[in-house]
Amino acid sequence: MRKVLLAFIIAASLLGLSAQLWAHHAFSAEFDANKPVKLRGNIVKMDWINPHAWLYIDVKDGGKVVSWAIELGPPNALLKRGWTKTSVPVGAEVLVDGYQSKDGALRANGRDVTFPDGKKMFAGSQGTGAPGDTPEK
Amino acid sequence: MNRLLLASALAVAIAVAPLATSPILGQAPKASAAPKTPWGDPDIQGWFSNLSENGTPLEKPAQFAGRNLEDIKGEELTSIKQAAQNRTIESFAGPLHAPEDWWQKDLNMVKGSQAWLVIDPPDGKVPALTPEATARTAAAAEARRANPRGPSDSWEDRSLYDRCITRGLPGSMLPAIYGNSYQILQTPDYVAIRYEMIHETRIIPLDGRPHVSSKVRTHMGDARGHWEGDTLVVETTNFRDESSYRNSNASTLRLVERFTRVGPKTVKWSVTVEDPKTWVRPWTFAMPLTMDDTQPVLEYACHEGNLGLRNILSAARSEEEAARANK
Amino acid sequence: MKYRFPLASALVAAIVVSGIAISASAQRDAVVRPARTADGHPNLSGIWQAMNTAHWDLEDHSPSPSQLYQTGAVGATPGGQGVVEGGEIPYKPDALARKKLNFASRLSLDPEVKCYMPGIPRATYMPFPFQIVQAPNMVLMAYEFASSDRVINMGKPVEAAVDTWMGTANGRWDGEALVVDNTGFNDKTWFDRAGNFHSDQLHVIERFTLMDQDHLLYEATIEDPQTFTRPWKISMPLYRRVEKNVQLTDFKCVEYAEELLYGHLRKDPSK
Repeated sequence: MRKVLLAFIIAASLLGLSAQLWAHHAFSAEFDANKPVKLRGNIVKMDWINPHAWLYIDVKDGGKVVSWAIELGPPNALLKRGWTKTSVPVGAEVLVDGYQSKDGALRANGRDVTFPDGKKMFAGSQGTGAPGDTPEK
Repeated sequence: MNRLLLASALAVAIAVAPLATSPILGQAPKASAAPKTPWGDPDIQGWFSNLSENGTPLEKPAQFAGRNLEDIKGEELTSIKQAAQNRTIESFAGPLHAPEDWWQKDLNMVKGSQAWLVIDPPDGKVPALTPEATARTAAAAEARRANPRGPSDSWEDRSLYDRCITRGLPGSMLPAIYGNSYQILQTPDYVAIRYEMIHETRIIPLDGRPHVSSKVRTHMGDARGHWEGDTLVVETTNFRDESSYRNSNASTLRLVERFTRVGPKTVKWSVTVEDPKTWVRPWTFAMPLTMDDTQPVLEYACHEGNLGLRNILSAARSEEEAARANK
Repeated sequence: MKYRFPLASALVAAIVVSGIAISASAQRDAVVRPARTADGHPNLSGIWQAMNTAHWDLEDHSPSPSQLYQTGAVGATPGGQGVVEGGEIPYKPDALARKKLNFASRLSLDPEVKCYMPGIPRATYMPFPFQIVQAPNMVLMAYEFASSDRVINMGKPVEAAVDTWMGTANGRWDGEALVVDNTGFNDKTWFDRAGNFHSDQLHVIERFTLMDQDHLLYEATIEDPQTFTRPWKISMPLYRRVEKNVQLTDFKCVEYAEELLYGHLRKDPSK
């Protein structure tokens, strides 16, 4: 496995992909591709922290409410597009498509985070990324 | 009495003559249209980004053998950049990633200015390693073979970037998929450069003082700057072994950066890399920095939020536990 | 008086020249570090450092032992006079209880131990020099500890988009004083090593006033209605570091905190 990693890094640097891109593949070091999850829950809070923001949602799991932590991308990219801490609608229902953490904790990567009507969260409408375009529930 | 006055007047003239040509007194040696700070230095201040240079190969790709950098332009350049952008996005197509729109919307590699970064030597390639560097690399590989470690046995096995320590120099100004914001501020005696990722600040003295002792080593090195006409020249030494650029020798590595405003919104940044213990000759790469007020440097509190590192270690320990349980 | 040119006059001329050379270098100093910047404001640029015990405890305090007996006298806390106007920080009752818990567990709770960014005002009086770079329209303050820094926006005030460790700073001149209005803090920093803390409602208004070329008066008014019964104020002189060629050195302390943060997750070689 390490040989494959090393080969990738060498190939990546030859292609000019900086080593910094590789750091984002660290998702594969945290999450398990064999443990896909589809979570439907309500937003409790969003931690706008670096290097990755975290979204906390309450998921109804057969009568119980279970808290999940979803790892997202780096917030500074969104903040420069005008997102603020009030842009993420607390209480809104979202659908999270991702993979669960390797250590079994209730954590997943937020590969896709959408509203039930299919609109992508963090994308804005028509790709403008403007927070005002994000539907609120 | 008149002779004394004459002698003093002559002495004054001699003493102030060098100052009269100093840009500090507002009398620049050559005429220049570039904007100036209130005290007369070239003005390169602002918020900058080099996001559009992401994905540009460092070295001249084989397909351009025999061609010059400045000849790859227009539609040919744009289509190369579009292909690079497509490849970058595809490389993240695997299952395990964060939301894509987060950074993909900002990625605009078609705005990239050049087909590769190395401008010297003329063949666009990083020069050969010295025998000493080859031996050093081989010894390190041998040490790793003798003492194999997994990718996450300890935090020390992860990169300095994963650990939120540093991207070093010139790493902190090399484009990545996000965080490509820099700020330059000037005073008469310092130039300050801030880098968003991973919140570095270099405050570069312009007063000609010597470097600090070789006993004082830092990840971003020790920088000294001066103006040569319209160009800020920054010379940096005193690097640390763990972050020395491209595995060079930290105590002999010397980087010389040049910052020159080449347009109303563009500063050209070039880096000459010199380490006689690693490369057979110095080499230089360059790229433009583009002024962009929509890309200010924001706080990037990486270590404070580094749950990822903790989770990576925890995942590795869980996998080992699971492997033991299955035995 | 009679002078015998050239010898005596040359001697006088040499003295005059050296006198002028000295004042020319003083002139150059005055130009590279003028008392006022081009826009007429006091020039606060330079390397400054606090010299008090505020970073251990903002309030008056006696010396006390380290929580790690192995460090003996080296790890103990020196006593000192406080910097809080009126003497005591006006905590609300449950906030005071929390401060006491913080103090009791400071080794594990103090964010400084983990190399987290210190926030404002703590960054000002940590036991490290910091540098002010007063550029046109922006004032940079760079701190050694954890490579923290902040840029004070001197133009139209900007609002904090999210909470950060070092806050969002908007500055303006009030006569000879630089006034900095800081908002947008998270609740994760402390004011000192004694557990004095705040909520994310923290609002800090600082004043920087040159007392003379080498002394900067630093005042900070702290408002946080969630934690304190009223605003309160600290003040202290900051001393210019006047050594020739003085400069900041990195204190990238993440490496010093990793064992503490992740040691329990290191692979056990015996397994």
